[in-house]
Amino acid sequence: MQFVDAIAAALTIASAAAFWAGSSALARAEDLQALYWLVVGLVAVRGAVQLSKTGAKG
Amino acid sequence: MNNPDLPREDERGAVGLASIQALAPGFYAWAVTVLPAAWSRASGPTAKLCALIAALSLALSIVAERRFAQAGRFAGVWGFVLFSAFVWLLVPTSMGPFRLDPWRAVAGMLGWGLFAFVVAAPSTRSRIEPTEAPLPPRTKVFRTDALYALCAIAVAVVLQFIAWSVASPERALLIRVVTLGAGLIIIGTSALLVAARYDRPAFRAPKRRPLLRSAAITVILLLLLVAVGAIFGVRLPD
Repeated sequence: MQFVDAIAAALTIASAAAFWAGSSALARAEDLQALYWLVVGLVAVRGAVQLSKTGAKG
Repeated sequence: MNNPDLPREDERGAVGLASIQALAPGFYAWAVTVLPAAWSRASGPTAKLCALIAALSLALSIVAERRFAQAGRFAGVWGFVLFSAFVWLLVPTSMGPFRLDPWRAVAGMLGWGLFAFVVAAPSTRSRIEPTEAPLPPRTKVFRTDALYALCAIAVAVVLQFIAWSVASPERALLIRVVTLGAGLIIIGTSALLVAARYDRPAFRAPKRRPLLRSAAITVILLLLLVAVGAIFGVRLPD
């Protein structure tokens, strides 16, 4: 497994955690926090996708 | 003498597959719409018997199609549909608007729709002759691919449980939509990570440096977001 693949996987896990935190904040009616965590999750997912494309064998 | 209704020798691999394709959606629709009606308080033994005959008819349609081709398939499928309808006729109160859960109604509608689509669609056909040796794989498949997929699916499923604990239905619906989108994003990202591990032209990065630059910018943005959250005291859920 390449180093960038590991980073991409870690970012995916981080995004899942951020989505969980955002959804939990939505359940507690803390909408601003929820928005923050969802943005963090989306940025983490984008980073994971970009890193996985750079890490593809070529 | 050859029976023209029976399948030809080269199609024998496809016989029964139409009924097999219909099994899963058929049983799903039966479990969601027929079984609760047949075993409700207002139902009698006749409704229960009809429900069991319907399920048996669907299960035996595979054998019937192998022996009697289309005639067997029609008998099995129509037997399933008719006996399911008998159950609803015998227990009309179970389908009333005040008794039927709206989500179960939607699930049942989707199940029956999928069943009808699968029954009407042509059956899949095996293209591999049994005498031929299996083809060699084009590329080596990593065993951890399944692990990636299972973890992503598990995360997507776990996210769905958040909405169950919310009292307000509007907020629960919003959380359901958000978690559904998040689950799809996680599964899609995992699929991309898996695919990028293979040496395939579609997943090569022809312009590596600009992608690395944009990935670095994204990671820096992420770190900035985390720093901002730490400054403003954004806390993790309990």
